[in-house]
Amino acid sequence: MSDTLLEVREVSKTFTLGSRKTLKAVENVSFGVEQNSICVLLGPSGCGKSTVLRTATEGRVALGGKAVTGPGQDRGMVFQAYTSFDWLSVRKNVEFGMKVNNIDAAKRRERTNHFLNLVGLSKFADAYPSQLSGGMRQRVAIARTLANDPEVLLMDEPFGALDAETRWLMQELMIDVAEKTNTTMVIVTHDLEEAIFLADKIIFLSSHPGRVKEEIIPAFKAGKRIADKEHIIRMNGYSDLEEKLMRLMREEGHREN
Amino acid sequence: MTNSKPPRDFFSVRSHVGRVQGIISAIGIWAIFFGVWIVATSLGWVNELLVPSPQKVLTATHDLFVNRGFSSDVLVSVGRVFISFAMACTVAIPLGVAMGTFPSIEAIFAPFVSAWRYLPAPSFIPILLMWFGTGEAPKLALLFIGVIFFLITLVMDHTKNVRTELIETALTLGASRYVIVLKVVFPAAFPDIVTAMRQMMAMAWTYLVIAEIVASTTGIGAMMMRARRFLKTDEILSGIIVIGVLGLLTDVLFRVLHRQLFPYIEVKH
Repeated sequence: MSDTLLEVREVSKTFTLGSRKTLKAVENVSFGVEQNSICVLLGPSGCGKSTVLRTATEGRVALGGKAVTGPGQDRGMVFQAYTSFDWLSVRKNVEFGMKVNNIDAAKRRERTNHFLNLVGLSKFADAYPSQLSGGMRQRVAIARTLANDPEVLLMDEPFGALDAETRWLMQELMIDVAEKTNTTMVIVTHDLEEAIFLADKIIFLSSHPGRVKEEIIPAFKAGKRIADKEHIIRMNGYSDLEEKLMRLMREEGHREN
Repeated sequence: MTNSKPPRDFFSVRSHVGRVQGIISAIGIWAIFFGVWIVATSLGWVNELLVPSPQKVLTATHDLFVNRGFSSDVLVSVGRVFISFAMACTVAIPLGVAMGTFPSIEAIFAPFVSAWRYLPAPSFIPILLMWFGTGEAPKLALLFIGVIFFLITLVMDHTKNVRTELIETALTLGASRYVIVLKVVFPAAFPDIVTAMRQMMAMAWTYLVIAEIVASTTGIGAMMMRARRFLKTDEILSGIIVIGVLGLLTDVLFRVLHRQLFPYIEVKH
Protein backbone atom coordinates (compact mmCIF):
# COMPACT_ATOMS: atom_id res chain seq x y z
CA MET A 1 0.00 0.00 0.00
CA SER A 2 2.80 2.41 -0.67
CA ASP A 3 2.98 2.94 -4.44
CA THR A 4 0.92 5.88 -5.50
CA LEU A 5 -1.37 4.82 -8.35
CA LEU A 6 -3.45 7.95 -8.92
CA GLU A 7 -2.02 11.44 -8.58
CA VAL A 8 -4.33 14.41 -8.41
CA ARG A 9 -2.17 17.52 -8.68
CA GLU A 10 -3.34 21.07 -8.16
CA VAL A 11 -6.76 20.59 -9.65
CA SER A 12 -8.78 23.80 -9.85
CA LYS A 13 -12.13 24.38 -11.43
CA THR A 14 -13.98 27.62 -12.00
CA PHE A 15 -17.56 27.73 -13.19
CA THR A 16 -18.96 30.71 -15.05
CA LEU A 17 -22.28 31.95 -13.74
CA GLY A 18 -23.93 34.28 -16.19
CA SER A 19 -21.70 36.73 -18.06
CA ARG A 20 -19.68 38.34 -15.27
CA LYS A 21 -19.73 36.13 -12.21
CA THR A 22 -17.49 33.18 -11.76
CA LEU A 23 -17.51 30.60 -9.01
CA LYS A 24 -14.31 28.96 -7.88
CA ALA A 25 -15.55 25.47 -7.09
CA VAL A 26 -12.26 23.75 -6.49
CA GLU A 27 -8.86 25.28 -5.79
CA ASN A 28 -5.47 23.58 -5.82
CA VAL A 29 -6.63 20.18 -4.72
CA SER A 30 -3.79 17.68 -4.60
CA PHE A 31 -3.63 14.21 -3.18
CA GLY A 32 -2.43 10.76 -4.07
CA VAL A 33 -4.18 7.42 -3.97
CA GLU A 34 -2.05 4.39 -3.16
CA GLN A 35 -2.27 1.17 -5.09
CA ASN A 36 -4.96 -1.20 -3.72
CA SER A 37 -6.27 1.37 -1.25
CA ILE A 38 -9.67 2.91 -0.68
CA CYS A 39 -9.55 6.69 -0.63
CA VAL A 40 -12.67 8.57 0.45
CA LEU A 41 -13.34 12.17 -0.55
CA LEU A 42 -15.42 13.61 2.26
CA GLY A 43 -16.83 17.07 2.76
CA PRO A 44 -19.98 19.15 3.08
CA SER A 45 -22.31 19.24 0.11
CA GLY A 46 -21.21 21.71 -2.50
CA CYS A 47 -17.50 21.43 -1.68
CA GLY A 48 -16.65 20.17 -5.13
CA LYS A 49 -16.03 16.52 -4.26
CA SER A 50 -17.75 15.30 -7.38
CA THR A 51 -15.94 17.91 -9.45
CA VAL A 52 -12.61 16.56 -8.23
CA LEU A 53 -13.70 13.03 -9.07
CA ARG A 54 -14.80 14.09 -12.51
CA THR A 55 -11.44 15.66 -13.26
CA ALA A 56 -10.13 12.16 -12.71
CA THR A 57 -12.24 11.08 -15.65
CA GLU A 58 -11.57 14.21 -17.66
CA GLY A 59 -7.86 14.73 -17.12
CA ARG A 60 -5.39 16.80 -15.12
CA VAL A 61 -4.57 13.68 -13.30
CA ALA A 62 -1.82 11.12 -13.54
CA LEU A 63 -2.54 7.43 -13.39
CA GLY A 64 0.39 5.14 -12.77
CA GLY A 65 2.74 8.01 -13.56
CA LYS A 66 1.13 8.83 -16.93
CA ALA A 67 -0.98 11.92 -17.56
CA VAL A 68 -4.61 11.13 -18.22
CA THR A 69 -6.50 12.61 -21.15
CA GLY A 70 -10.23 12.20 -21.49
CA PRO A 71 -12.41 9.49 -20.00
CA GLY A 72 -11.32 5.94 -20.57
CA GLN A 73 -11.54 2.31 -19.64
CA ASP A 74 -8.68 2.59 -17.09
CA ARG A 75 -10.83 4.70 -14.74
CA GLY A 76 -14.17 2.99 -14.12
CA MET A 77 -16.92 5.23 -12.83
CA VAL A 78 -20.04 4.45 -10.78
CA PHE A 79 -22.59 7.23 -10.39
CA GLN A 80 -25.25 7.94 -7.78
CA ALA A 81 -27.97 7.89 -10.45
CA TYR A 82 -28.85 4.48 -11.85
CA THR A 83 -26.92 3.95 -15.04
CA SER A 84 -28.01 0.48 -16.00
CA PHE A 85 -28.80 0.10 -19.69
CA ASP A 86 -32.46 -0.81 -19.34
CA TRP A 87 -32.72 -2.48 -22.73
CA LEU A 88 -30.04 -5.04 -21.88
CA SER A 89 -30.24 -7.95 -19.46
CA VAL A 90 -28.08 -7.85 -16.34
CA ARG A 91 -25.57 -10.15 -18.04
CA LYS A 92 -25.39 -7.98 -21.16
CA ASN A 93 -24.98 -4.89 -19.00
CA VAL A 94 -21.96 -6.41 -17.32
CA GLU A 95 -20.57 -7.55 -20.68
CA PHE A 96 -21.02 -4.13 -22.29
CA GLY A 97 -17.61 -2.67 -21.46
CA MET A 98 -15.76 -5.85 -22.37
CA LYS A 99 -17.59 -6.06 -25.66
CA VAL A 100 -16.67 -2.48 -26.45
CA ASN A 101 -13.05 -3.33 -25.69
CA ASN A 102 -13.10 -6.44 -27.90
CA ILE A 103 -12.61 -9.04 -25.21
CA ASP A 104 -13.40 -12.44 -26.74
CA ALA A 105 -16.71 -14.08 -25.94
CA ALA A 106 -15.41 -16.90 -23.75
CA LYS A 107 -13.45 -14.57 -21.51
CA ARG A 108 -16.35 -12.15 -21.42
CA ARG A 109 -18.65 -14.85 -20.22
CA GLU A 110 -16.22 -16.08 -17.60
CA ARG A 111 -15.55 -12.59 -16.20
CA THR A 112 -19.26 -11.73 -16.23
CA ASN A 113 -20.09 -14.84 -14.22
CA HIS A 114 -17.24 -14.11 -11.84
CA PHE A 115 -18.28 -10.53 -11.10
CA LEU A 116 -22.01 -11.29 -10.96
CA ASN A 117 -21.14 -13.89 -8.39
CA LEU A 118 -18.96 -11.40 -6.50
CA VAL A 119 -21.82 -8.91 -6.14
CA GLY A 120 -24.37 -11.67 -5.49
CA LEU A 121 -26.42 -11.32 -8.68
CA SER A 122 -25.77 -14.67 -10.36
CA LYS A 123 -29.43 -15.61 -10.08
CA PHE A 124 -30.49 -12.41 -11.81
CA ALA A 125 -28.18 -12.64 -14.82
CA ASP A 126 -31.06 -12.84 -17.28
CA ALA A 127 -33.34 -10.29 -15.59
CA TYR A 128 -33.79 -6.77 -16.87
CA PRO A 129 -32.56 -3.93 -14.64
CA SER A 130 -36.11 -2.61 -14.32
CA GLN A 131 -36.99 -5.78 -12.43
CA LEU A 132 -34.32 -5.13 -9.80
CA SER A 133 -34.25 -3.05 -6.61
CA GLY A 134 -32.11 0.08 -6.34
CA GLY A 135 -29.34 -1.69 -4.46
CA MET A 136 -29.23 -4.49 -7.01
CA ARG A 137 -29.01 -2.00 -9.84
CA GLN A 138 -26.00 -0.37 -8.20
CA ARG A 139 -24.46 -3.81 -7.86
CA VAL A 140 -24.96 -4.29 -11.61
CA ALA A 141 -23.15 -0.99 -12.18
CA ILE A 142 -20.30 -2.05 -9.89
CA ALA A 143 -19.99 -5.48 -11.54
CA ARG A 144 -20.07 -3.88 -14.98
CA THR A 145 -17.30 -1.46 -14.06
CA LEU A 146 -15.11 -4.07 -12.35
CA ALA A 147 -15.54 -6.58 -15.16
CA ASN A 148 -14.04 -3.98 -17.48
CA ASP A 149 -10.81 -4.26 -15.48
CA PRO A 150 -10.17 -0.61 -14.62
CA GLU A 151 -6.99 0.52 -12.87
CA VAL A 152 -9.05 2.50 -10.42
CA LEU A 153 -12.74 2.47 -9.49
CA LEU A 154 -14.21 5.96 -9.03
CA MET A 155 -17.55 6.18 -7.24
CA ASP A 156 -19.62 9.35 -6.92
CA GLU A 157 -21.93 8.95 -3.90
CA PRO A 158 -22.76 5.48 -5.18
CA PHE A 159 -25.17 4.63 -2.37
CA GLY A 160 -26.77 8.05 -1.98
CA ALA A 161 -30.07 6.97 -3.47
CA LEU A 162 -30.41 3.79 -1.41
CA ASP A 163 -32.27 3.22 1.83
CA ALA A 164 -30.27 2.88 5.05
CA GLU A 165 -30.17 -0.89 5.32
CA THR A 166 -29.25 -1.46 1.67
CA ARG A 167 -26.64 1.23 2.06
CA TRP A 168 -24.66 -0.50 4.80
CA LEU A 169 -24.96 -3.86 3.10
CA MET A 170 -23.47 -2.22 0.00
CA GLN A 171 -20.68 -0.70 2.09
CA GLU A 172 -19.84 -4.15 3.42
CA LEU A 173 -19.96 -5.50 -0.11
CA MET A 174 -17.40 -2.88 -1.18
CA ILE A 175 -15.00 -3.99 1.58
CA ASP A 176 -15.46 -7.56 0.41
CA VAL A 177 -14.87 -6.56 -3.22
CA ALA A 178 -11.77 -4.52 -2.32
CA GLU A 179 -10.31 -7.44 -0.37
CA LYS A 180 -11.02 -10.00 -3.08
CA THR A 181 -10.05 -7.98 -6.15
CA ASN A 182 -7.41 -5.58 -4.80
CA THR A 183 -9.14 -2.76 -6.66
CA THR A 184 -8.01 0.77 -5.94
CA MET A 185 -11.06 2.92 -5.18
CA VAL A 186 -11.86 6.59 -4.81
CA ILE A 187 -15.26 7.11 -3.23
CA VAL A 188 -17.05 10.43 -2.85
CA THR A 189 -19.48 10.72 0.05
CA HIS A 190 -20.85 13.12 2.62
CA ASP A 191 -21.76 10.30 4.97
CA LEU A 192 -19.33 10.23 7.93
CA GLU A 193 -20.01 6.62 8.90
CA GLU A 194 -19.55 5.50 5.34
CA ALA A 195 -16.26 7.36 5.13
CA ILE A 196 -14.86 5.85 8.33
CA PHE A 197 -16.03 2.35 7.47
CA LEU A 198 -14.64 2.30 3.93
CA ALA A 199 -11.59 4.53 4.00
CA ASP A 200 -7.95 3.61 4.21
CA LYS A 201 -7.48 7.35 3.82
CA ILE A 202 -9.94 10.23 4.05
CA ILE A 203 -9.40 13.45 2.12
CA PHE A 204 -11.54 16.08 3.82
CA LEU A 205 -12.46 18.94 1.52
CA SER A 206 -13.49 22.38 2.73
CA SER A 207 -16.23 24.21 0.90
CA HIS A 208 -16.27 27.34 -1.29
CA PRO A 209 -13.84 26.87 -2.78
CA GLY A 210 -13.06 23.19 -2.31
CA ARG A 211 -9.57 22.75 -0.85
CA VAL A 212 -7.98 19.85 0.95
CA LYS A 213 -8.60 20.70 4.60
CA GLU A 214 -7.09 17.61 6.07
CA GLU A 215 -5.82 14.18 5.13
CA ILE A 216 -6.87 11.65 7.73
CA ILE A 217 -5.73 8.06 8.10
CA PRO A 218 -8.13 6.13 10.36
CA ALA A 219 -5.31 4.93 12.60
CA PHE A 220 -7.58 2.91 14.86
CA LYS A 221 -8.05 0.35 12.10
CA ALA A 222 -4.30 -0.32 12.21
CA GLY A 223 -4.09 -0.72 8.46
CA LYS A 224 -6.78 -3.41 8.37
CA ARG A 225 -10.25 -3.36 6.89
CA ILE A 226 -13.17 -4.31 9.06
CA ALA A 227 -15.74 -6.51 7.36
CA ASP A 228 -18.90 -5.58 9.25
CA LYS A 229 -20.34 -2.38 10.59
CA GLU A 230 -21.50 -3.56 14.00
CA HIS A 231 -17.91 -4.53 14.68
CA ILE A 232 -16.31 -1.25 13.67
CA ILE A 233 -18.51 1.02 15.75
CA ARG A 234 -17.35 -0.77 18.91
CA MET A 235 -13.68 -0.30 18.18
CA ASN A 236 -11.53 2.07 20.19
CA GLY A 237 -10.99 5.24 18.26
CA TYR A 238 -14.08 4.96 16.06
CA SER A 239 -16.16 7.51 17.92
CA ASP A 240 -13.17 9.85 18.32
CA LEU A 241 -12.75 9.91 14.56
CA GLU A 242 -16.46 10.37 13.98
CA GLU A 243 -16.45 13.27 16.44
CA LYS A 244 -13.47 14.83 14.71
CA LEU A 245 -15.12 14.57 11.30
CA MET A 246 -18.34 16.01 12.68
CA ARG A 247 -16.41 18.96 14.06
CA LEU A 248 -14.73 19.52 10.69
CA MET A 249 -18.12 19.30 8.98
CA ARG A 250 -19.64 21.80 11.42
CA GLU A 251 -16.80 24.27 10.96
CA GLU A 252 -17.49 24.26 7.23
CA GLY A 253 -21.19 24.70 7.82
CA HIS A 254 -20.56 27.72 10.06
CA ARG A 255 -18.21 29.30 7.59
CA GLU A 256 -20.95 29.16 5.04
CA ASN A 257 -23.72 30.71 7.09
CA MET B 1 -60.80 -11.20 1.86
CA THR B 2 -64.54 -11.78 2.22
CA ASN B 3 -66.93 -11.07 -0.59
CA SER B 4 -68.71 -8.29 1.27
CA LYS B 5 -66.65 -5.46 -0.17
CA PRO B 6 -67.86 -1.99 0.71
CA PRO B 7 -69.50 -0.34 -2.32
CA ARG B 8 -67.06 1.87 -4.16
CA ASP B 9 -67.77 5.55 -4.36
CA PHE B 10 -68.17 6.47 -8.06
CA PHE B 11 -66.44 9.82 -7.54
CA SER B 12 -63.43 8.60 -5.59
CA VAL B 13 -60.52 10.87 -6.44
CA ARG B 14 -57.71 9.29 -8.47
CA SER B 15 -58.46 5.75 -7.45
CA HIS B 16 -58.09 2.83 -9.81
CA VAL B 17 -61.06 1.94 -12.01
CA GLY B 18 -61.73 -1.81 -12.02
CA ARG B 19 -61.72 -3.91 -15.18
CA VAL B 20 -65.47 -4.48 -15.26
CA GLN B 21 -66.28 -0.86 -14.59
CA GLY B 22 -63.80 0.14 -17.31
CA ILE B 23 -65.43 -2.10 -19.91
CA ILE B 24 -68.95 -1.05 -18.98
CA SER B 25 -67.96 2.62 -19.13
CA ALA B 26 -66.30 2.29 -22.53
CA ILE B 27 -69.20 0.39 -24.09
CA GLY B 28 -71.74 2.59 -22.34
CA ILE B 29 -70.61 5.86 -23.88
CA TRP B 30 -70.74 4.33 -27.39
CA ALA B 31 -74.13 2.78 -26.67
CA ILE B 32 -75.45 6.21 -25.73
CA PHE B 33 -73.93 7.76 -28.86
CA PHE B 34 -75.53 5.21 -31.23
CA GLY B 35 -78.72 5.17 -29.15
CA VAL B 36 -79.20 8.93 -29.60
CA TRP B 37 -78.37 8.58 -33.30
CA ILE B 38 -80.88 5.75 -33.82
CA VAL B 39 -83.64 7.48 -31.86
CA ALA B 40 -83.06 10.82 -33.61
CA THR B 41 -83.25 9.28 -37.08
CA SER B 42 -86.14 6.89 -36.45
CA LEU B 43 -88.30 9.53 -34.77
CA GLY B 44 -87.61 11.99 -37.56
CA TRP B 45 -85.90 14.64 -35.41
CA VAL B 46 -83.33 15.14 -38.17
CA ASN B 47 -83.44 15.32 -41.95
CA GLU B 48 -82.99 11.73 -43.15
CA LEU B 49 -81.12 12.95 -46.24
CA LEU B 50 -78.45 14.79 -44.23
CA VAL B 51 -78.25 12.40 -41.28
CA PRO B 52 -78.89 8.80 -42.38
CA SER B 53 -79.55 6.20 -39.71
CA PRO B 54 -76.71 3.96 -38.45
CA GLN B 55 -78.42 0.99 -40.08
CA LYS B 56 -78.30 2.76 -43.46
CA VAL B 57 -74.65 3.63 -42.99
CA LEU B 58 -73.88 0.03 -42.13
CA THR B 59 -75.74 -1.21 -45.22
CA ALA B 60 -73.94 1.36 -47.35
CA THR B 61 -70.57 0.24 -45.95
CA HIS B 62 -71.38 -3.37 -46.73
CA ASP B 63 -72.52 -2.44 -50.23
CA LEU B 64 -69.37 -0.37 -50.82
CA PHE B 65 -67.09 -3.23 -49.89
CA VAL B 66 -69.00 -6.07 -51.54
CA ASN B 67 -70.37 -4.54 -54.74
CA ARG B 68 -68.42 -1.36 -55.43
CA GLY B 69 -64.79 -2.37 -54.95
CA PHE B 70 -64.24 -0.02 -52.03
CA SER B 71 -61.48 -2.28 -50.69
CA SER B 72 -59.17 -1.19 -53.51
CA ASP B 73 -59.72 2.44 -52.45
CA VAL B 74 -58.91 1.50 -48.88
CA LEU B 75 -55.77 -0.34 -49.99
CA VAL B 76 -54.67 2.67 -52.04
CA SER B 77 -55.12 4.95 -49.02
CA VAL B 78 -53.35 2.60 -46.62
CA GLY B 79 -50.52 2.21 -49.12
CA ARG B 80 -50.10 5.97 -49.41
CA VAL B 81 -49.97 6.41 -45.65
CA PHE B 82 -47.46 3.65 -45.07
CA ILE B 83 -45.16 4.48 -47.99
CA SER B 84 -44.94 8.18 -47.21
CA PHE B 85 -44.69 7.52 -43.48
CA ALA B 86 -41.84 5.07 -44.05
CA MET B 87 -40.04 7.66 -46.19
CA ALA B 88 -40.50 10.31 -43.52
CA CYS B 89 -39.17 7.98 -40.81
CA THR B 90 -36.16 7.00 -42.92
CA VAL B 91 -35.07 10.63 -42.97
CA ALA B 92 -36.42 11.88 -39.64
CA ILE B 93 -35.14 9.21 -37.26
CA PRO B 94 -31.44 9.30 -38.21
CA LEU B 95 -31.52 13.08 -38.51
CA GLY B 96 -33.39 13.57 -35.24
CA VAL B 97 -31.04 11.26 -33.37
CA ALA B 98 -28.04 13.06 -34.85
CA MET B 99 -29.48 16.46 -33.90
CA GLY B 100 -30.23 15.28 -30.37
CA THR B 101 -26.73 13.87 -29.97
CA PHE B 102 -24.52 16.44 -31.68
CA PRO B 103 -25.26 20.11 -30.91
CA SER B 104 -23.29 21.02 -34.05
CA ILE B 105 -25.78 19.14 -36.23
CA GLU B 106 -28.66 20.64 -34.28
CA ALA B 107 -27.23 24.13 -34.90
CA ILE B 108 -27.43 23.51 -38.65
CA PHE B 109 -30.85 21.90 -38.96
CA ALA B 110 -32.89 23.20 -36.01
CA PRO B 111 -33.47 26.73 -37.42
CA PHE B 112 -34.50 25.20 -40.74
CA VAL B 113 -36.76 22.49 -39.34
CA SER B 114 -38.55 24.71 -36.83
CA ALA B 115 -39.41 27.26 -39.55
CA TRP B 116 -40.92 24.54 -41.74
CA ARG B 117 -43.04 23.32 -38.87
CA TYR B 118 -45.02 26.56 -38.99
CA LEU B 119 -45.86 26.16 -42.67
CA PRO B 120 -49.15 24.27 -42.90
CA ALA B 121 -48.57 21.28 -45.17
CA PRO B 122 -51.85 21.72 -47.13
CA SER B 123 -50.62 25.13 -48.30
CA PHE B 124 -48.22 23.19 -50.52
CA ILE B 125 -51.00 21.38 -52.38
CA PRO B 126 -51.27 23.81 -55.34
CA ILE B 127 -47.54 23.84 -55.99
CA LEU B 128 -47.24 20.09 -55.44
CA LEU B 129 -49.94 19.54 -58.04
CA MET B 130 -48.02 21.73 -60.47
CA TRP B 131 -44.75 19.97 -59.81
CA PHE B 132 -45.93 16.39 -59.69
CA GLY B 133 -49.20 16.36 -61.65
CA THR B 134 -52.07 14.29 -60.39
CA GLY B 135 -50.42 10.90 -59.81
CA GLU B 136 -49.29 9.39 -56.53
CA ALA B 137 -46.34 11.75 -56.09
CA PRO B 138 -48.18 14.88 -54.87
CA LYS B 139 -50.10 12.87 -52.25
CA LEU B 140 -46.98 11.17 -50.97
CA ALA B 141 -45.16 14.50 -50.96
CA LEU B 142 -47.92 16.18 -48.93
CA LEU B 143 -47.90 13.45 -46.30
CA PHE B 144 -44.12 13.52 -46.22
CA ILE B 145 -44.03 17.29 -45.67
CA GLY B 146 -46.82 17.12 -43.13
CA VAL B 147 -45.12 14.50 -40.99
CA ILE B 148 -41.38 14.89 -41.32
CA PHE B 149 -40.68 18.19 -39.58
CA PHE B 150 -42.69 17.35 -36.50
CA LEU B 151 -41.18 13.88 -36.39
CA ILE B 152 -37.63 15.26 -36.60
CA THR B 153 -38.33 17.60 -33.70
CA LEU B 154 -39.90 14.88 -31.55
CA VAL B 155 -37.08 12.42 -32.23
CA MET B 156 -34.52 15.13 -31.43
CA ASP B 157 -36.23 15.97 -28.13
CA HIS B 158 -36.49 12.33 -27.09
CA THR B 159 -32.83 11.82 -27.96
CA LYS B 160 -31.86 14.84 -25.87
CA ASN B 161 -33.76 13.33 -22.93
CA VAL B 162 -31.34 10.41 -22.77
CA ARG B 163 -29.62 10.91 -19.42
CA THR B 164 -26.07 12.22 -19.54
CA GLU B 165 -25.01 9.64 -16.94
CA LEU B 166 -25.69 6.85 -19.42
CA ILE B 167 -23.40 8.49 -21.96
CA GLU B 168 -20.73 9.21 -19.34
CA THR B 169 -20.91 5.63 -18.13
CA ALA B 170 -20.39 4.33 -21.65
CA LEU B 171 -17.46 6.74 -22.10
CA THR B 172 -15.77 5.55 -18.92
CA LEU B 173 -16.28 1.96 -20.05
CA GLY B 174 -14.23 2.88 -23.09
CA ALA B 175 -16.97 3.23 -25.70
CA SER B 176 -16.24 5.14 -28.90
CA ARG B 177 -18.52 7.85 -30.24
CA TYR B 178 -19.93 5.42 -32.77
CA VAL B 179 -20.78 2.89 -30.05
CA ILE B 180 -22.29 5.60 -27.85
CA VAL B 181 -24.69 6.78 -30.55
CA LEU B 182 -25.69 3.34 -31.84
CA LYS B 183 -25.54 1.23 -28.68
CA VAL B 184 -26.49 3.68 -25.95
CA VAL B 185 -28.23 6.84 -27.16
CA PHE B 186 -30.39 5.21 -29.81
CA PRO B 187 -31.58 2.20 -27.77
CA ALA B 188 -32.26 4.50 -24.81
CA ALA B 189 -34.41 6.82 -26.93
CA PHE B 190 -35.97 4.12 -29.11
CA PRO B 191 -39.11 3.43 -27.01
CA ASP B 192 -39.95 7.14 -27.03
CA ILE B 193 -39.22 7.34 -30.74
CA VAL B 194 -41.75 4.59 -31.42
CA THR B 195 -44.29 6.51 -29.33
CA ALA B 196 -43.55 9.62 -31.40
CA MET B 197 -44.11 7.58 -34.57
CA ARG B 198 -47.46 6.47 -33.21
CA GLN B 199 -48.49 10.06 -32.59
CA MET B 200 -47.34 11.21 -36.03
CA MET B 201 -49.20 8.34 -37.72
CA ALA B 202 -52.45 10.03 -36.70
CA MET B 203 -51.24 13.17 -38.44
CA ALA B 204 -50.39 11.17 -41.57
CA TRP B 205 -54.01 9.98 -41.76
CA THR B 206 -55.24 13.56 -41.48
CA TYR B 207 -53.09 14.72 -44.40
CA LEU B 208 -54.03 11.68 -46.44
CA VAL B 209 -57.70 12.58 -46.33
CA ILE B 210 -56.95 16.20 -47.18
CA ALA B 211 -54.88 15.10 -50.18
CA GLU B 212 -57.54 12.70 -51.40
CA ILE B 213 -60.40 15.13 -50.95
CA VAL B 214 -58.62 17.94 -52.76
CA ALA B 215 -57.11 16.13 -55.70
CA SER B 216 -57.61 12.44 -56.19
CA THR B 217 -59.76 9.96 -58.03
CA THR B 218 -58.74 7.03 -55.86
CA GLY B 219 -58.68 6.41 -52.14
CA ILE B 220 -61.14 6.79 -49.30
CA GLY B 221 -61.26 10.60 -49.52
CA ALA B 222 -61.99 10.50 -53.24
CA MET B 223 -64.86 8.07 -52.67
CA MET B 224 -66.34 10.46 -50.13
CA MET B 225 -66.15 13.38 -52.54
CA ARG B 226 -67.83 11.26 -55.22
CA ALA B 227 -70.57 10.36 -52.75
CA ARG B 228 -71.12 14.04 -51.99
CA ARG B 229 -71.87 14.73 -55.64
CA PHE B 230 -74.67 12.15 -55.53
CA LEU B 231 -75.93 13.29 -52.08
CA LYS B 232 -74.99 9.90 -50.62
CA THR B 233 -74.55 10.95 -47.01
CA ASP B 234 -74.56 7.33 -45.86
CA GLU B 235 -71.48 6.63 -47.99
CA ILE B 236 -69.71 9.75 -46.70
CA LEU B 237 -70.28 8.55 -43.17
CA SER B 238 -69.04 5.08 -44.18
CA GLY B 239 -65.81 6.68 -45.33
CA ILE B 240 -65.41 8.49 -42.02
CA ILE B 241 -66.02 5.31 -40.07
CA VAL B 242 -63.56 3.31 -42.18
CA ILE B 243 -60.88 5.99 -41.67
CA GLY B 244 -61.57 5.93 -37.94
CA VAL B 245 -61.30 2.16 -37.76
CA LEU B 246 -58.08 2.18 -39.78
CA GLY B 247 -56.62 4.85 -37.50
CA LEU B 248 -57.58 2.81 -34.47
CA LEU B 249 -56.02 -0.32 -35.99
CA THR B 250 -52.70 1.42 -36.70
CA ASP B 251 -52.70 2.73 -33.16
CA VAL B 252 -53.24 -0.79 -31.80
CA LEU B 253 -50.53 -2.05 -34.15
CA PHE B 254 -48.06 0.45 -32.72
CA ARG B 255 -49.00 -0.45 -29.16
CA VAL B 256 -48.42 -4.14 -29.87
CA LEU B 257 -45.15 -3.29 -31.60
CA HIS B 258 -44.09 -1.26 -28.58
CA ARG B 259 -44.82 -4.13 -26.25
CA GLN B 260 -42.97 -6.62 -28.46
CA LEU B 261 -39.91 -4.43 -28.99
CA PHE B 262 -39.53 -3.26 -25.41
CA PRO B 263 -40.46 -6.11 -23.07
CA TYR B 264 -38.25 -4.56 -20.36
CA ILE B 265 -40.58 -1.60 -20.02
CA GLU B 266 -43.66 -3.71 -19.36
CA VAL B 267 -42.11 -6.13 -16.87
CA LYS B 268 -42.20 -3.51 -14.13
CA HIS B 269 -45.94 -3.73 -13.75
